[in-house]
Amino acid sequence: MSWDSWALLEDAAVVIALFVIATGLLQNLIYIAQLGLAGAALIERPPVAEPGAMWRRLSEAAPPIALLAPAYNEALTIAQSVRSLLSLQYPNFEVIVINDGSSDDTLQVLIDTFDLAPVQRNHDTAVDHQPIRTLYGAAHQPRLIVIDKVNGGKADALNAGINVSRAPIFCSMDADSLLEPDALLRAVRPFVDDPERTVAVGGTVRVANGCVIADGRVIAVRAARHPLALLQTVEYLRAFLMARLAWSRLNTLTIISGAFGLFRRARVIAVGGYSRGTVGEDMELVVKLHRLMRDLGEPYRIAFVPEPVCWTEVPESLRVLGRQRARWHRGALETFERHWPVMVQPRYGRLGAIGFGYILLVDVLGPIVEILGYLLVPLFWAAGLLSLDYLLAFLAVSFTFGVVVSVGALALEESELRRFPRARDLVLLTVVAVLENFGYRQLNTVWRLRGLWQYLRRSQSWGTMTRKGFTSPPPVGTGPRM
Amino acid sequence: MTLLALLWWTSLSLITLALLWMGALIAARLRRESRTRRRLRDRDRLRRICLAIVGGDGEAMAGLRPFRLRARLMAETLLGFEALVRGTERDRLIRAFDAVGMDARFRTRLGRGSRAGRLVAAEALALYPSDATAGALQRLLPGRADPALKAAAVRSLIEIGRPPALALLLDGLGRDRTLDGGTGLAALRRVTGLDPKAALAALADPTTPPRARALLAEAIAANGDYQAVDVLCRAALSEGLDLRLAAIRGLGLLAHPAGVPTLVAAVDDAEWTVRAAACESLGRTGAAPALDAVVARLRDPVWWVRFQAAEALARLGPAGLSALRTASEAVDDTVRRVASLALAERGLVVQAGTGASR
Repeated sequence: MSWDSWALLEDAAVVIALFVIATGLLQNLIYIAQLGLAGAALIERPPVAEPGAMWRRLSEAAPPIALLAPAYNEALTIAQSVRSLLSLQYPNFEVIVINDGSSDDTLQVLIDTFDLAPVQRNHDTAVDHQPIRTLYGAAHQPRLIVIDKVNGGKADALNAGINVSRAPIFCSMDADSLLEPDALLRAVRPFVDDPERTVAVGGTVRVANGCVIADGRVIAVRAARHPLALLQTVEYLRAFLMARLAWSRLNTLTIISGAFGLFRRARVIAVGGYSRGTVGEDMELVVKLHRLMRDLGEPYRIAFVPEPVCWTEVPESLRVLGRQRARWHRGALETFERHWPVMVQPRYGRLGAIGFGYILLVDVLGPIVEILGYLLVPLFWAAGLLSLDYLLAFLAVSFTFGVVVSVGALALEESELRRFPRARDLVLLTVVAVLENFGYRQLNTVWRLRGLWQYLRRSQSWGTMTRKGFTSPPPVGTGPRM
Repeated sequence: MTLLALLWWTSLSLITLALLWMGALIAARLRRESRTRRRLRDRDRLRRICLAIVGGDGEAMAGLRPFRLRARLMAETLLGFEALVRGTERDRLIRAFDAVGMDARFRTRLGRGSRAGRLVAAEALALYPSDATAGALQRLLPGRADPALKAAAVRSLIEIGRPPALALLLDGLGRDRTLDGGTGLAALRRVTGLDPKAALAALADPTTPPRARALLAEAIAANGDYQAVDVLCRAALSEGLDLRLAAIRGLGLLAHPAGVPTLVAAVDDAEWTVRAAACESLGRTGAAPALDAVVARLRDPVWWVRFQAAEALARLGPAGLSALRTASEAVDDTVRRVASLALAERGLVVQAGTGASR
């Protein structure tokens, strides 16, 4: 190699190394800012511990809610799930189960368990979805409506539910997730406190693996026993208690989990309901709502409430988890592709600068930069272009930043929510918060790159989400998005 | 210090910070666990004492004394029990807490200690009507106190029959988000019921903030005061959407014939929410002159308006049902569908295939 080429390579190595370092530093600074914002939000509005107090304070003013639970091939668990939903503590709600063309006995189980019969119901046709075959009502459960429709995916099923619901607010969820009895009462608080401006509210989703579950309820919170589920527990805490709470405080929250979110029905209809043909329909909907409200120039709020808890079972196999993460990443990229112009249009303000800036940095550039760092920096070092001392020092800073951020999320949980009743679970999670930086974080980057590859190839596959089930043998369905 | 040393020191500081942070939290947790165990034990004891008091055991009251300094625990237990019992049992319980001086303790707790404790003390004071209680709660209302605490104070003041002045409540709207929403409406309903004249005057007064007027319109109508019809009819012509909507809803709640012309006019409002509310309100009034206006809304571009129009017709008696039957045979698909489904839902027509839609 000539001297000029070598000098050029050396310059390139420095530029790439600086770019990787700068991006990593910026990401970590954002995480620290999120930690501060989330902490401030929790101090400003601490959770109310006692369910009786929530009922006293909110029940008189709580608006009606329609709970939309799409179900696909969930015959083994659906009866228990619906019973659990019907027993939620909320003054005025209806449960709309959408059987999305299941090929198993989901519908028959519902018919037999709840004594369903076909009913006529005047309903909207504002948002598109696959045809409804029959609507069912329950003889002894006036709150229950079951929609039997042609298969079209989760977004399609939710659209059917939106059309059939009549309450001003609907709650989207997964039929196989578990809601805490007072989750609706807690989540509705922003709609009661600020009814004019609030268009959507997200709630915390937590890992149910390891918890003691009976009759569709989490009766004792425990840390998961499987290492992979434990790693995801820390990740979920970081995602919900830190990132979403922080962005919610700035009104730049761009995602509300498909596993649990409340939306104002009229606004969702105004944006055409859930987008079909994307795997990130939950993120897509929230971004569409932001855009609608900013285009209308009306004051609005998309809030996140840390207390309402929806419990979900997370994958305990690398294969299934990898597929899920690739799909989530693909969803984020699809949404970014559709809406990136908000970054350059001043009327979208913070949504573009902070919400989409964050997606660009963390979701679009993040995995590429991280993998570049992992591959090129050792290569440059091997070629003698980078100093080993500096390489190790930068790696150490990067890892310890990661540890501080994870521990910070745990600290938020511990200082305000304290859902883990045993101190030893907390110790275990602290250890996991340190260990996740060595191996798991890198694996996540690989899965996200796979998501990027699928996105570039325009793959629309959801993959198969295998669950063990809370009380029964494994059903097969679509996984929740964190 | 070289850059290299700075990087290593940064790493070391960060990891030390993280471990110290978590160590402190775990230590705090261990301390808290023993406190929590004690609190749960005390709560159990207190519950057993309350059960005995409710059951008429005269000696049991003495068991409350050791807990009299723990206002939050006492307030939470009292409120939990009070929601479950009625009549003499409830009176016995409230008297027993009074006998150990809990009302004074709750009043003191309003101004000190944790926010959760202050909130629950404000709620518990609803059980102890007195001048002292009213004074303590009223002192929370002006100024920059916690909005949730203010809302709790307002609720308790209403419960003890000493509602805050309407002007004070209206002043709080817009300033405190907690009072601005459903909680404010619930409080206003009760206050307007106690002082309808002042409420009507505030509603008619154009200087009252629009949001407050909208809440007042609904609150006054919910109390069934027919004197409000004229004011509501005028408010229904307002340019502000909130007030217009609230006035239309209010006229529906009152269901007075004098409101019908205003409601018929509102059926053609530019805002679909107002059109839907007007249809719903006309259904409540049961007025025959409204029939044509409501039938016209069966072809409204917004489903919710069509649905409310069909529901209204179904409530308008034989004439409304006849109009629905006619509409169920209309050429227009939209009109036919909404009318036939409204009939089918009531079991009046067996409508094959209407359950299926796109």
